[in-house]
Amino acid sequence: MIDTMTDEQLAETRARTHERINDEIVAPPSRRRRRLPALGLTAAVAGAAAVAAVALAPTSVPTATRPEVATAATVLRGLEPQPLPKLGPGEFYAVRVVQRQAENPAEALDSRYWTDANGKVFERVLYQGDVKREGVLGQVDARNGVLTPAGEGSYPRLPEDVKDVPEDLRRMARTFGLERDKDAEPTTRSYVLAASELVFDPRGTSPEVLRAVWEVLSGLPGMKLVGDVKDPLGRPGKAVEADGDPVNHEGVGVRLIVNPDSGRPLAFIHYRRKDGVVKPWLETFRTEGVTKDADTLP
Amino acid sequence: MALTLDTDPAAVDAADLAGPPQRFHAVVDRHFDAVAAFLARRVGPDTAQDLTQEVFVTAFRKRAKFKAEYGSARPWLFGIANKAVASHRREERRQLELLQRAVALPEPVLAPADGLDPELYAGLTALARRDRDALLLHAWGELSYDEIAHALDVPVGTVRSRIHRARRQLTAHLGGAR
Repeated sequence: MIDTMTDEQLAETRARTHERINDEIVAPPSRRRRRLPALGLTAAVAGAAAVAAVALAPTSVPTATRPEVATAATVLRGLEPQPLPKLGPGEFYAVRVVQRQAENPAEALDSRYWTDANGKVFERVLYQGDVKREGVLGQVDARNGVLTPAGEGSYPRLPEDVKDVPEDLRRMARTFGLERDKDAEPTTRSYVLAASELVFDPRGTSPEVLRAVWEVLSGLPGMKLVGDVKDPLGRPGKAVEADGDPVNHEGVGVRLIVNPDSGRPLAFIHYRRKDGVVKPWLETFRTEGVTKDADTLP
Repeated sequence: MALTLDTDPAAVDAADLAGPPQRFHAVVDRHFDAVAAFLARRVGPDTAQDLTQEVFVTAFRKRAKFKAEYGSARPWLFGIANKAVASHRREERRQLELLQRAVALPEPVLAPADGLDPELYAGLTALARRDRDALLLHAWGELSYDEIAHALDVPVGTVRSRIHRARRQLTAHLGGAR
């Protein structure tokens, strides 16, 4: 078989190209890429504006209270991350992270972790159903002699100190960013991708750090509220997303789904938007809970 | 008044790109097959469907930057296509790294295009990206050295040296037999 498009593919692509050019003619997009303002500056300006608004507000006129319209910002700020459960003797905090191709779910990476009360993490990783690695994080896997990741560095985690979260997220977003201009401020999508590292966390993230992350995300331009969704396991959640730039990200956007009750991340989805319809490409979801042994799945 | 039709493709491209936006459709029609065929060989037909659209949409947005002295728009479009391929590879690699980081899976290898000699494919993947881009624009895009220079925005001498180097390395990889 020769590596060329079929006549049908050519015809479909040609027609779609003309349609997209027509769309551009009718509604040209903004030429400027969205750049993030420095977060500190934004906060300072917002603070100053709030002070000015209070100072200038006529005191005699009662301000009407309107119900706040839900946006990505209000939803993220409204999340109240719950603390991790305290483990008793013989108990484990189990985390399972599955990443799979949406169109081919069997092609899945299945990472399972059990953390005991002393913080020791047992890991078992399966790829397409076969165990590829197991052992204690940071120790040699007897199966193949490979040193398993020590956690730090291998699993990018956010800092324990809440005040470092904005800068740390920014640093991670820069790492994820594919923007051509290396000095450019990371895009909102890169920030979402950085925040989605929370889904990979094998142990669990403190509620304080989670709250700080949601706060940073809530201030990003272009962050969209998707609303109530079901994650790939059918669990209800609230979703926010950032589209991918067609040039820098091949149009691949990132959607983050959060459990509104626990304030903890459930999943993130890499997607492409085609003809206005979101088409999931890569699905990553997390389940977690307390177990009585290092074998039971959460 | 006699009506004259300018049949020089280069002049037609320049006029269409400088004219009202609707005239861009003519540019699509003139170069669509060549761009689509090139992309299909570089990234496979399925991905090429998306990338071909992106190339023309990008070209439409940047049409004011097209320099009429370049002549035909084809090298310029291939330059955009080349960047789209690089961006696509980067993005795919980035997504796969998410998986790899978690399990330390081996580095992903790009699957050889159907029908491509595996040895030739291995030789191509061993080339430096810039050398490979220049060679493939010449071999698969059927661009001249001058056109490649326009597409990649480098001097024609650089194109010559890149293609020369790519050919030499490829020949060495194939045991000098081809």
